Amino acid sequence: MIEVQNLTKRYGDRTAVSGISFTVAKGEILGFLGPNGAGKSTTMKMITGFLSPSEGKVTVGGYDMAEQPLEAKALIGYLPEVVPLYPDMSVTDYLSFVASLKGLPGNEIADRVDYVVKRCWLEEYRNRLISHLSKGYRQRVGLAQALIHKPPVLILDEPTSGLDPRQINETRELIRQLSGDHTVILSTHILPEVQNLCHRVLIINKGREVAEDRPENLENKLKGSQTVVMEVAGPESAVREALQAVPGIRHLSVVPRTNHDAGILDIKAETDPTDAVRAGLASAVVGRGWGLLELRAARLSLEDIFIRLTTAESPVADAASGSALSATSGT
Amino acid sequence: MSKILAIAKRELRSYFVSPLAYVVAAFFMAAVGFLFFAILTSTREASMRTLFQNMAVVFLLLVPALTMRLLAEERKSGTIELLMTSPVTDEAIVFGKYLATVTYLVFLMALTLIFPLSLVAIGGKPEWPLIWTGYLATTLMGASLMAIGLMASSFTNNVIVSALVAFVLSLIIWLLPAIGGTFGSPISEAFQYMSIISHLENMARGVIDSSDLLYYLSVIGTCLLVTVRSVNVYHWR
Repeated sequence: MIEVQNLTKRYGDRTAVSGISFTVAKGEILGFLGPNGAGKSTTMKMITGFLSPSEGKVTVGGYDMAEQPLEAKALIGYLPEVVPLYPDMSVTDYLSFVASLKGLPGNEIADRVDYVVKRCWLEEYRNRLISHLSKGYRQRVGLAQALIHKPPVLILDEPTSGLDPRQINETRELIRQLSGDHTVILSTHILPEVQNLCHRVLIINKGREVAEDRPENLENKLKGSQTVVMEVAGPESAVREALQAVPGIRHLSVVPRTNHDAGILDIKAETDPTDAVRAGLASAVVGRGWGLLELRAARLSLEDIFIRLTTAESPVADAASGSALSATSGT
Repeated sequence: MSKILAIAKRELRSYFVSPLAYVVAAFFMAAVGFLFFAILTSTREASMRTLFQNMAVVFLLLVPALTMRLLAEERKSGTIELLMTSPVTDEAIVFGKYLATVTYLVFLMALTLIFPLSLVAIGGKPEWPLIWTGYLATTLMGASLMAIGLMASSFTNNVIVSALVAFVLSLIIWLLPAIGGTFGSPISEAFQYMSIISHLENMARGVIDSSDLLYYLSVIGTCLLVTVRSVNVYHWR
């Protein structure tokens, strides 16, 4: 339904988005995940035809956004990061205006406005001026205007931002229900949102695509390594040295506690995925007479993956993004 | 076409739900009414011709206030993103906005019909053909200033800057004969032709000359064209 090839946006010397490519099938929910300023919004602005890409191509429902923008735009419902509202209009007037702007025939507008008002829980507020609505309700009006013309494609830029926890759940549920007959791209920097909602995740950092896969596969992919969490009572530098020497250790972080637990070290080790490494770590500690208070293999959460893929400091992060990228090209 | 109308309708609504439309109309009517009264009493002649020229001066001050928000505010508030991701062309956005502001102008002009009608009420027999020509000329001149204002509004997302640019551009095109006067012929004649006010004077005499009509239509056309180009550029920023 949506095809994006080598999408690039440059502003002078600065590259905001660089060579992003992906496709989204009908009925699928794709999540853009990335830190603030990663290029998620810029990418969405290019997909919706607001910004023209410096390079690359966007096709929506078979229409090239550069060649047939009107046909392509007619298929898209778009909730921008800054909700585009006219504060001097009432909710229904605004929605009717958007409906005619999107080309909905005049005799269908009233029914359709009623439908989206119900769908987005706005019934009590339908005659309210938009300037009198709270942030959460404005966000709902934004969602309602994106749905007004029954678009087969929905592009939602941080749809749950500014909502309270109950509204977040309602909105997620709404998006989930919509995904059946709509194709959805949504952006977020909230991880549970992606885990809950999306069929596929595209992680973007500094304008580049860092990884793309199903949320569960991303986790499995990084199972190529394991994270071992330990709590050890012992001298910091000696412990560090001893553990570093255990075969299969890739990366080690040792953090001494500073409060009343002084002398206890919190250790996180990135290791080869074998039981032998854990046994090796245990005997390295116990064999030297230090206290082994805890040792467990931690399951990687999407959060760990996200942080590792988007922080390029440690060698582990590079290795992880490398493996994720190579798997991406296989999908 | 229906989308152009939708955009124009929303814009007109926003004029009339804000105090702006009423303040401008009240100020305009007060100014024109005072001038009408002053002309009547000082010249003891019920002439509309001078009144049209005075209206033009009032437009110079009022039009930037009417056009400053048109595109600048859409960009500032982000609603331009809604317009430009909807299945409408950039041309339709610009024409819709222009249609709205010109409709408001026609509304203002219609209000001033009370002055010639008041002459009829006291038993005068105004020369209606002359008056209609004057109305056509003044409306065209106002519409030209509005095209300049809309263009200025597309250059910035700051409404104050937008109003100032509109005012300065209008003033320049107004004062061209004075500027041209410092050069000799033929430059001064060319500047005279380019002045927005000289054509109003011609038409207020009751002569509809195609060169005057052509002048206003080309000012409007040029400004709208530049506005469309300027809106196109938003896609690249």
